[in-house]
Amino acid sequence: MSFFDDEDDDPLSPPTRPAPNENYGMRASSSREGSVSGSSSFLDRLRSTVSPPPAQSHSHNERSRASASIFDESNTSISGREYGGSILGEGEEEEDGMGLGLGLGQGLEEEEDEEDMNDVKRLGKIWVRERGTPELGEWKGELIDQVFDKLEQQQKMVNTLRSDPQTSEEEHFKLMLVQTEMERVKYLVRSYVRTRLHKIEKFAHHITLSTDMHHLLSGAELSHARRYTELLHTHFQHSALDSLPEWLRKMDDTYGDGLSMVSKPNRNTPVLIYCRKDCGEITLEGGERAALARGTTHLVKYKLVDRWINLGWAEVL
Amino acid sequence: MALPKHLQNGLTPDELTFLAEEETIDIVPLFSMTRVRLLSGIYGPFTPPSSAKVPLWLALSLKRKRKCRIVPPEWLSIDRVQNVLKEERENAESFCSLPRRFIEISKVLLDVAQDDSMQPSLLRSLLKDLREVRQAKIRIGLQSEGVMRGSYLQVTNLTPLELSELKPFLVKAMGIMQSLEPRGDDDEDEEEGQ
Repeated sequence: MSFFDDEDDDPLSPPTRPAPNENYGMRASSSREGSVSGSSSFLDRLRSTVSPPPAQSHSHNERSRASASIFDESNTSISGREYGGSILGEGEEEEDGMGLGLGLGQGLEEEEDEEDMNDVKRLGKIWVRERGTPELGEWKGELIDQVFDKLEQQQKMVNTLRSDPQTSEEEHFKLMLVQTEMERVKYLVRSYVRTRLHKIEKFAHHITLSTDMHHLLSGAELSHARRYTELLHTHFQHSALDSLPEWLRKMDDTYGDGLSMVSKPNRNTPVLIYCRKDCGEITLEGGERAALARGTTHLVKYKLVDRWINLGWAEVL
Repeated sequence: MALPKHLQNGLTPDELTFLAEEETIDIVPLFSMTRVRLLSGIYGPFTPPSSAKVPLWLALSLKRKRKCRIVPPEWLSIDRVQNVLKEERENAESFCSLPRRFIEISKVLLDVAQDDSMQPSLLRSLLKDLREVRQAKIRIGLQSEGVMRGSYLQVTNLTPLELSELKPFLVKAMGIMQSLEPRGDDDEDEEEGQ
């Protein structure tokens, strides 16, 4: 049916995916039998992916109606009906009685379920998180792969429809929108990867030394971290360390005061978090306690809240 | 290197605006088009008198081509903003809760689609007042004793944009305060790296 629809059960299933290539080949050699019908039906299908017939998008429609209702229906009806009310309570106003109803839609919108979000929104979330925390987060390979697959398909579709003279004006306009969005998504992916790369290079030695961190990195990232460390160390050795006395040559020494040469993420860096759920209380240095109630925002040391962040209960801003 | 220095302190206002542009908004299209399927979902159909819900970036892009009218969100009506401003002034202790991307969205809407809001200049001055009242509160809050001494701050109801303005300063100040404190035992192996 379509391979762009994120609502379809299996948008990337084998039967649909190879199709573009096959038909591509057929179009190229148009003398082959059946090629005309093959390519035209393929184009039809492509068209239908840019302009999906109403029936296909049923579930998405539901969702957009749900989000529409965020602003104009009462709180309870949303949480009860559309979202099953799991995370969304009715108590958005309880934090302080002065939201003026203005924060109402806001609160609900923010507490959208992870599953309810589209890929782009999710990508945005993990990007923000990566930017906001001092430590390297988990590599979201699945989501990235998914996004890449979709981008690739969109690109194929754009290329095909663009060069097809039958493509109407309206479709060209749609293609422009599709491309605009692709650029936006690519930017997000790029920035996400760069942020990680920055952290990986900064803590390359630490990462290669601590095997328990390796599951957080993708294969490419890990091998980059290793190679980077190696290069850096060989460089240091050749340029300076080899001329020093043996006991000064180490790269992983610890000074007398406990300062290590291997730089690690500073887990004392404050992070901004928004509590999506009630995260209980934390104990601060001075023995004071701070409550991380739902819907509140805090600037707090990363090491005190990292488990809530990892659980997704607290969202990094 | 991988991440330019000016991006290392956290998200910039531009990046926050970029995120805000993923939020959906209502538009009234001035052209007809069937549904369009994008990575983030399916939008449309666009049939002139009836409205459609699209991501903000799409709305802005259409608006720049004069292909739609943007329906400002309800929270951006003069009445609502006036109420918030009043509340914000009356309550010196805490902040009003605003939609998360309040500042970014209101700014781009006033920049690109000011002819779609009722009284753009009034709205603009209200928003400016609101922002100033909040900023003043933030400054007063930061002056109060002990804020800089600890390494914790409750910042409920400040929007990410306001926080991103504060964060570099606060993080740095807290870092300096920490390095001045006598070192705790458990911190010793974690101090550097920043």
